[in-house]
Amino acid sequence: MDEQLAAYVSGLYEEHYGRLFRHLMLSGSTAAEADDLIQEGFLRLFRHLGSGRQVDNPQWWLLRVMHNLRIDEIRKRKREFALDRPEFECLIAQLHTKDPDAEEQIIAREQQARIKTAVGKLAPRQYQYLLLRAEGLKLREIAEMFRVTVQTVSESCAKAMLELGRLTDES
Amino acid sequence: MNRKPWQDRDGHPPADLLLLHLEDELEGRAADTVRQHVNQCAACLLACEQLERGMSRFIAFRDSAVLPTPAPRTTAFHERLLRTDAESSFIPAITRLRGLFRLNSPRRLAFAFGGAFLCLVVWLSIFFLGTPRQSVYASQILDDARSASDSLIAHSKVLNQKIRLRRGNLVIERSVHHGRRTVVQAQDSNIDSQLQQALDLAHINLNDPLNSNDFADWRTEQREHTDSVKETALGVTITTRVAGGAITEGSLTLSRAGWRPIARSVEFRGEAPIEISELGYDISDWPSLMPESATLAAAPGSLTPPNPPAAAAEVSTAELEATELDLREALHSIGADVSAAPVIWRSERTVFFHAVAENPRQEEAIRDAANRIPHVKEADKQPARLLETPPAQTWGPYKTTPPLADALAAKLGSGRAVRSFLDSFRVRSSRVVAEATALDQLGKRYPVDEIKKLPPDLRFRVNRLATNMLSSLQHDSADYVKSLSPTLDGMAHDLNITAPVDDNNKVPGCLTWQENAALAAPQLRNLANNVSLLFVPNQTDTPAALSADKLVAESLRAKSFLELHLMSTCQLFGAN
Repeated sequence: MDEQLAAYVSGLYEEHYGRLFRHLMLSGSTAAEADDLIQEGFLRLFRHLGSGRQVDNPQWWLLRVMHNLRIDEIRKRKREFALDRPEFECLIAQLHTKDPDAEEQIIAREQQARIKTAVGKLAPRQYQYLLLRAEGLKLREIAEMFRVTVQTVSESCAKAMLELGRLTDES
Repeated sequence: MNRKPWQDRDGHPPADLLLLHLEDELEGRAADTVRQHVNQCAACLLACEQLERGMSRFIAFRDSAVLPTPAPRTTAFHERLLRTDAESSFIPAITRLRGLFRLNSPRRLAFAFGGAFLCLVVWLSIFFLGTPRQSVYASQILDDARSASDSLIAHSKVLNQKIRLRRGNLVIERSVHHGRRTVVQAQDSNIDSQLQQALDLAHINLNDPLNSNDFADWRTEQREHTDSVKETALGVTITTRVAGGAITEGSLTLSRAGWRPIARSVEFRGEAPIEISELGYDISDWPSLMPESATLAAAPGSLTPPNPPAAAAEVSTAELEATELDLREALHSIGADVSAAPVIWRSERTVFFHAVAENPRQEEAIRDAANRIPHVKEADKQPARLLETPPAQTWGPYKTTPPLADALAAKLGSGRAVRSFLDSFRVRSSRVVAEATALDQLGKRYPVDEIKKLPPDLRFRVNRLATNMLSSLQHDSADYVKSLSPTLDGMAHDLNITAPVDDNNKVPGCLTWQENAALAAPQLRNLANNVSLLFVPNQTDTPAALSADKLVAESLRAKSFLELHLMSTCQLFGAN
């Protein structure tokens, strides 16, 4: 392994840190946990590349590794890996969204509040699937991560997406 | 009525199938069946659009979350990496040795011997029993892959793959097209003779490096080899180990769905391995991608996309039709169909376009998108026959009776709030007017009768494009009307004006998207024009002919049209 590889991975770390941090925070990690997970994920990437193997899409690779690390971490504390309902509700309730621009604040706020309420009504697992889908992962890849069938992920995502889509129609 | 397996109670594909269809994750017959149904079904198109809208809402929600954003501590992390690098060279060996010496208790020792014995049994059973079975299984899989490839060709389909070939520091990324006939590939300048020799040895054809038949031929040629087959959720990997020779091992991974080759690797004795992997793929109909008139040969695949045909080559109308749609979709995907007001026209062999980009970045994106589509050319200007006279607008000196600018300032409380309101109004109104105009142009290009003449796949693509555009227009118009309503309704209330009943607003039955766009575009323009006139600070120059009562009434009428018809889902797809 050489310094060039370390510089390359450090560059990736700098480039992807913000996005991965947001993703982990939105998945229910604390800031400290997110930072640890990111560092550990990039260390693994460094070792992986250093051993001569290749990674086609570092962001996806990192998301997978961090997801697995997080599962391990949570399993140390709980029997089952999942954002349970109280945790999820707490996460969404504490989430602040950006203030809309100046003049249509009331309407935009109402809309945001409606979407937030709708997201809060999703099943925690639906929320996690959508978060990963929003990161660009394919349904097949999400299914592989959670060790479920593509059909399960697809049904779950479609139901959630239709609910959010209909909400927009009503607004 | 007999329901088919993919249909729900109402005879439509359920939402999860529609999502898989949208994500392009359906394969084989299911993909064709759902595609054909969605192509013909307005309700399913609407459901698809709702799914996409739901996802974009979720993304907007995610992006709006306010979260702490600590800066990455890159320098500290870099140092940590270097420390890890230094430690990793000898720590693993030491820890492993230490692990062995820890086996000091009799119970642990017994456990270790038991494990070793079990490993020996497993290894022997694999060696004596497993290998022939694995070989037979590997042969069966390769036969299946060959059949799948033949079936694709028999159905006039083209498998388009983006692949990466890596050897040491050399990385080549290219597009490969497997089909009935493909373009002859020119030699690549990156390939030196040593690599070429290695490729030949491994039976890797640069025109089709993932070809499973080539792998099968190489495997059959090896006198002494052992096979192993490893299955995962996504794919099956056949690994063939060779006893002697320059190559020690070769492997091919096939996707479980469709037996599509997705990766291949070759390990050499004392040389860097060759790794080939698929980065992405899609399957398209033969004629829509490759012009029949291009230089063709009976080669199995190609590393380059098809070259545009020579100037003299004939291009069929169907191909040009598909090309034009390719261009429209490409412009739509980068938002240029609305913001760059593109004009598209055709000659016998070429699709021309002229667009006015908002900025150099968009100009580059447009050019880049157009360059990828054969038979498309950018023109410096549009032909005179296509130049449109902009609709007449009432601008210039006027005065309002009474001046509503003052009333607006009184209502909103400050000059800053008024400016902010007007700025926002201008941005929103120009956006929706541009969207409505773009959709109207599309409707004029593809009237209902014209669409009916198109082949089903093109008809579906036109309707899908229109659905996307209409959906954005509906969404933005709803926002626009909502932001405008409190002020406009307040003014109407203050002036004691009610929305006039107008026969034009009584639209009978369901409208097609073309009819809807044709009605919405002028209504939106009128609304923007009238509201601008209402609220711009009053002027006293002549002519002073505009009446605030009339402007408010007109605006209310336009608003009511938009609320009643444009935002109503009934009118979306009408007769198409």
